[in-house]
Amino acid sequence: MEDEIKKDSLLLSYLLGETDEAQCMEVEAWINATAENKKYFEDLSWVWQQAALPAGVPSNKAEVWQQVRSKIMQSHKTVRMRFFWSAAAVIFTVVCVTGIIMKLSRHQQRAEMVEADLPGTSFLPDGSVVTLNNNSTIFYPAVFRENERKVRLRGEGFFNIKHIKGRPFVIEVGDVQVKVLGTSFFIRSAARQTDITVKTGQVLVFHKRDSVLLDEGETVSVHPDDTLLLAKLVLEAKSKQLTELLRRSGKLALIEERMKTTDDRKILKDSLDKTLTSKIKLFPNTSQFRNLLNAVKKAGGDSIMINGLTLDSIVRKMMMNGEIEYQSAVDTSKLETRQQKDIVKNIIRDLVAKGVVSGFNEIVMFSLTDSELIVNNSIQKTALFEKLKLKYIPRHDYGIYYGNAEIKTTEGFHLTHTNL
Amino acid sequence: MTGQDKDYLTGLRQSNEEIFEQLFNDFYDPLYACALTMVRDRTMAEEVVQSVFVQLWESRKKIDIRHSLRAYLYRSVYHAVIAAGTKANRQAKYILHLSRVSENSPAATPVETKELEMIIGRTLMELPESCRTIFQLSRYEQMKYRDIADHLQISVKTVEAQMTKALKILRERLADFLPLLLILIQYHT
Repeated sequence: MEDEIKKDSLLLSYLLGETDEAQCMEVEAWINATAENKKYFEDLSWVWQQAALPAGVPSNKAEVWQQVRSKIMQSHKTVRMRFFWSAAAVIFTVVCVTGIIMKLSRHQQRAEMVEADLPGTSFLPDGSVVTLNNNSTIFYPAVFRENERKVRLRGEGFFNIKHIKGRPFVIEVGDVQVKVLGTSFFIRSAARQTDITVKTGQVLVFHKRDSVLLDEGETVSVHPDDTLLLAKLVLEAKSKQLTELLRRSGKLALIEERMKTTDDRKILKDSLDKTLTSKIKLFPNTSQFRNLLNAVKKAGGDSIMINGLTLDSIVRKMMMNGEIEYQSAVDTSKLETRQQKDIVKNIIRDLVAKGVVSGFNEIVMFSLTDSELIVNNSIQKTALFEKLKLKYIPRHDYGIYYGNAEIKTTEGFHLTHTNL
Repeated sequence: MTGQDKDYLTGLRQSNEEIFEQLFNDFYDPLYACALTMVRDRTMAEEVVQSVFVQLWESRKKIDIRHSLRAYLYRSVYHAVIAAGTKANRQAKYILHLSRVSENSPAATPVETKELEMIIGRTLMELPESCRTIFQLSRYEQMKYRDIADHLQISVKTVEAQMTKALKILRERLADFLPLLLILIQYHT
């Protein structure tokens, strides 16, 4: 047991860089002696790592300092009131002068922040109204800037924003920004999630590099851990149609593209257009889309009727007729010639950039498949092949061929010199 | 006690706001990191650290720090986390209740990560006081054993022993999560 503690102690010292050279060597020799020792050390350093702060967690240091300061000032005030009544006149004068100066220099004045945390309705300097819930705080400047109205919220609040042209209203909630385009809406921020629900008008929500536009009646939920917006769609009747669609098909983006019969297409497209197509465009990458899908799935939804048919039966019918396909990625085998040309050109550009050939016209042929890369009839290095495969080959058994020899492609495409 | 600690304390007793701001800037980041490890919630960690500084200011006249201002602040963080914890528990229950009522419960983070974080936080909270303070000084201030020993006026041996103890406790608590790591390593190699 004694030994055990000694060992741990030495290993920890080693981890923390507290050991001298002789000890370092001793520890390293011990670690490399057996696989068990190695595992023991790895476990130990893992535990040690875990107990550290998650890397790169930002904090609003400046904001916290403002809060500390404002609290300190409050306690100051009570002390002063008690002991320095006579100073009241002086303070009054100072306040008056400050007021005059503030008014005079209103344009270039640095905003003094006001903090309000009383539940109930407050009026902001621009005439907008905010209703705070319990345990919620809003910070706003005593005078808004000319070109922007910016406030910071913690907790929950209902906002009714006065529309002023050219002076957008921005609310910061943690790392989420809500840009208001003259409207009323509700924000609720809990520890791990910020919900924004629009009652009237529209708002733009920013989170890191994503943004989403919300219309009336829509809600978005933002999770601080995600690098993306997770949209939870409001389940009103119109959105429910989409919910149902997503639930049945699992994949939405394509359906739109692949519907062929005009009647059904129109029915489905209308319901999509009205509700989500705009939003899908805002979630271009698949993981975002998957999250969106999950959120919608989770929210559920009952079957909806369109012209007497349930969406379920419409989708099933279209599937049987081969009018809808279920595929997650864009099907590259049906790319337009223009897109094919772009891909081939890009590949050639890459080959030139990597020095495989000296110029664009040096390429007589290439073939890029999921198993090899051949340029001018010679097989290329694996590293380069893997790189290009990752970039251009969407799936197994897919090939991109360029050159005048006739190649029959089952999957993928072939371009000749004249094509290009 | 270091000369700087003394300067800070003198400044505090004289209600010198500039010194207080300097002190805040000096200590905020590591204290925040420490609070965050314990509570794993940014807003709450900020509130905890805020309350520690406000309290430090309010009690500046009667404060009695003999050894280390740093150690004092870390202990304050610990107590503030406990105080916030009881409040947060109530809130968590309430939110849980609400989400059950409305059915639309917020999407859960991966259970394992969440659980692991919670266990780490709780374990740090449960370390014996001297052990915890030494651990914090090492972890968040990156202080060397020698510096910690000087700071707290104890021997390097004691520091080493307490650190080993902290590690031992952590390892025991996290033992259940280790197999997962093993799988990951195998998967990668």
